[in-house]
Amino acid sequence: MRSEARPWQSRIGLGLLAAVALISGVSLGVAEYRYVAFRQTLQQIQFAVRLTDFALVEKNQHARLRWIVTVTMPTLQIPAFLELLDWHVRSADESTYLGYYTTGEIQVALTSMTEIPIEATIEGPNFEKLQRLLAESPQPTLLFQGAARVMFQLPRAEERKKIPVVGVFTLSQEHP
Amino acid sequence: MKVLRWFALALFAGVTAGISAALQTEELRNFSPVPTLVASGLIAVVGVGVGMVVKGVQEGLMMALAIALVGTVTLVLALSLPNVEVVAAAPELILRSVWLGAILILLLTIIGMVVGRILSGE
Repeated sequence: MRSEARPWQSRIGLGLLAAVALISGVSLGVAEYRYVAFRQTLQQIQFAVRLTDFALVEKNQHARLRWIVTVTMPTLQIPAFLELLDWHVRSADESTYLGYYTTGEIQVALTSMTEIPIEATIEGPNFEKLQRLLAESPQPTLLFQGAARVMFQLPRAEERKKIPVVGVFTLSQEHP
Repeated sequence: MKVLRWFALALFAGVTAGISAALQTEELRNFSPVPTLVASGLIAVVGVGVGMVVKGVQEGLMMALAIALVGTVTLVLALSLPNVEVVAAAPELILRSVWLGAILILLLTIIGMVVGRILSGE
């Protein structure tokens, strides 16, 4: 398999190489830029949980809690959606468990700052535990432990990341 | 082919093949503007291009090995640059992509070179 390559063949070969180098180089630059943006977004995503409303309805033996979950993504450059999977409420020392709650499958499109209102109704044995906590301390501190699924719309696929959401809040009969 | 020209070609083709291989790795394929199949095709086109320049089986095989070597180094750099801290702490995270990429570069370059020589009339 040995022959003298004609000059036009070499020129076509080098032309092909140059074209591939250009296409690959630009594509890699774009891919790495998007990858770095994605990693930065992941690193900087922050969740804050704030209790906005607490109502104790002793007559109906239930308590209603409303929170605002604030999702902050300062460098959001990739379209993303968030789904709050479920969250657990327990006392701050984790000795009393007050149940787990969910919003169902609600997806929220994320911006650099997104506020998601959620609520839970504590009833039954969990309500009795909450009443005991309120009897021990008029302003008990509770723990919000949840999980959010963030879905990033990448150019070639959807990347899903499960991120823990944790918040501490204080109950007050006079809330808000 | 003169030695300097040979090395320049191996370097240029190796870097190009390595960049193309990086585009189809697990880490970058979801962020790439070109699909995985196209990225693999680009490696083969590098082989076709080189196949039209080199002469003889021995020279072709040596060129394929040189391209695979340079391509692998380029691939490692392309995967490490956006992940400097992670790769420095745990280089094994990109190991699978690197050796798969190296094999892909070698195989597709050889296949491309054979096609290149056929297109050249051999």
